[in-house]
Amino acid sequence: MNKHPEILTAQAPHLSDEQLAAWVVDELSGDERSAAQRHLAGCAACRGALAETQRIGTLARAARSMADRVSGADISVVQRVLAQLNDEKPTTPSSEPVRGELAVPAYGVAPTANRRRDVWRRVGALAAVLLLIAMSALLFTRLSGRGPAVTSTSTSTFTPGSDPLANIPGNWSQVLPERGGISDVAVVSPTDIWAVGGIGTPNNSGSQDIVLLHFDGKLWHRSPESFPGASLSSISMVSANEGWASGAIGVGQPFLLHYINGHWRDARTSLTLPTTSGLKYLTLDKIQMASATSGWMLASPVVNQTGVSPTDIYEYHKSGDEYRWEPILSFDGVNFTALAAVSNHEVWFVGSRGPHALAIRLTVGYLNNDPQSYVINRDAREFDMDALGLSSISMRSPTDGWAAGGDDVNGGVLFHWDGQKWTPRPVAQAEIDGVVMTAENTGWVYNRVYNQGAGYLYATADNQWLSYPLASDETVVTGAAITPTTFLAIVDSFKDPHNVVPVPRVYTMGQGTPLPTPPPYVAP
Amino acid sequence: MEEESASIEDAVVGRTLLRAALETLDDESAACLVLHYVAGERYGEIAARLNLSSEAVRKRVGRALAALRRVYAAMESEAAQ
Repeated sequence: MNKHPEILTAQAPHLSDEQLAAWVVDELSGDERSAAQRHLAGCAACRGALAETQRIGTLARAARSMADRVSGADISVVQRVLAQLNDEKPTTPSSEPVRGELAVPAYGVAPTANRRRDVWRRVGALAAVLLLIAMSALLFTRLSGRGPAVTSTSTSTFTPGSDPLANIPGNWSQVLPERGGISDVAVVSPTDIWAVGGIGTPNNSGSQDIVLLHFDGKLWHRSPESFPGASLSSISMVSANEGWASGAIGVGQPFLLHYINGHWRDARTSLTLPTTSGLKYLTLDKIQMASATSGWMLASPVVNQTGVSPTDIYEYHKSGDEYRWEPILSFDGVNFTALAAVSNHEVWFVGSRGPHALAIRLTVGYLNNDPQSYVINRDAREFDMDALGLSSISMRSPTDGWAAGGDDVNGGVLFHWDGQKWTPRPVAQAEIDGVVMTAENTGWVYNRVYNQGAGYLYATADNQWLSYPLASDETVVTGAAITPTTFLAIVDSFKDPHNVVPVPRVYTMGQGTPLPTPPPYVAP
Repeated sequence: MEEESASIEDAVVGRTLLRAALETLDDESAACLVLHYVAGERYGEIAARLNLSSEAVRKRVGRALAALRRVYAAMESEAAQ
């Protein structure tokens, strides 16, 4: 199996501008097209160049649409421009300095004046008009009432305001691809948010490609990286400049991306696959980084087709320029559902063994207490919890953590960790799928009910509970705190279960409807 | 060719991009740029109009794209500052 197409096709030359231009309008010969297709499948740089080429085509056509609108309105301008073209163009050397504010190197050798005159005569009136209108800066600046701007990379007509949180719903629907689903979000700051997922196939049989969206405080942009057959299930950002996203590609094969220097790169070569004989599948379900040098992943291997699938824990270790993801632990019969890193030295996992919920604390010791040095010991301690299962954990510090879950018969459970023990706390109605704590005794819990509505979003502050309105067919798919008092929820409606349409919403602590404490349990 | 709804902002950016790229091109490549990217003509149509081979048109559209990409990159990095 070709797991690392980047490596196998590295010798193939990148696509030239000539080939990129021809590709987008289907002007390549059959052989050339299939060669280009093979190269594109393995080369993120060329896929980026292709996306840029398509974007440039859109911008050029946009200029033309403006030209169309203007030409009817002001024929005299067109005539004057045409006259100018005939008089001036042949005597204007193409190597003259650029008049605009952009310093762009001149290209090519200036042909003779006679040859120029000939070319423009051959171009004909239509294109000459379009050209001159396109070049007529004054005309368009006056029309649009504003100078040139290149901040937008979508054709959205949404105009962002100064408040980043108010811009979050903004142009999302224009950027999210059709059948694009969202699995996870990561908030670096209110002006730096990522959302990941996959594009479903029409028959819901797998993923066509990844979804990787970025919000810059004004607009959402879709990252140009394309990995056919892949989907992302989890993302963790270390900083604005570095992050990781994990998932699956093809039929249950691991998929891993690393964000560094402004680009997402295929990072599968940093993964050490387990040596278990008969291993067929391994998907990377959850990832969380403690820092740029330490992180952990939950991976689901399937040893054979009849085997029970336990969860493997992968650990990231970076020392100098060397970095690797290695499998470190596999608990027999334990199905982990979530993890939360506290520091380079401590990470928690929750899940269940059979019908018993448990939490496991892993502490890691490094040589000379230096996280960039060797791991010299690991200690895992198991805590049994009085519940059938746990689905989420949020750790604020080694002495303040929350674990949540439950089941659809008995309702939700919520536990608090004080550094010594886990204590049950009053709880929200149905089982909890996500808990995100933002301050002491303060945070958010949500529930997603697969393939139907009736999800909920609650905020809790000092044992007071607030409810936020969701439509009866809506549910919270995932979410993250943006600030200590605001929460980004990805809400999906299940009106049409075959067509997920997730939308981002921002909720503010304190604006909800108060609930009794503890909130009553209502069977879903 | 299909018309897409274009925002004013895109039209302004597109016009700036075309203008700067055209200034750096020889006339045949500039003509190919306008005929292909603005007027939406296919290589064969441009070849017939300019009395060039399709191969020659393809090369000039390639040069035009190279110029457009250089300008686009300059505009993006300017916008990022």
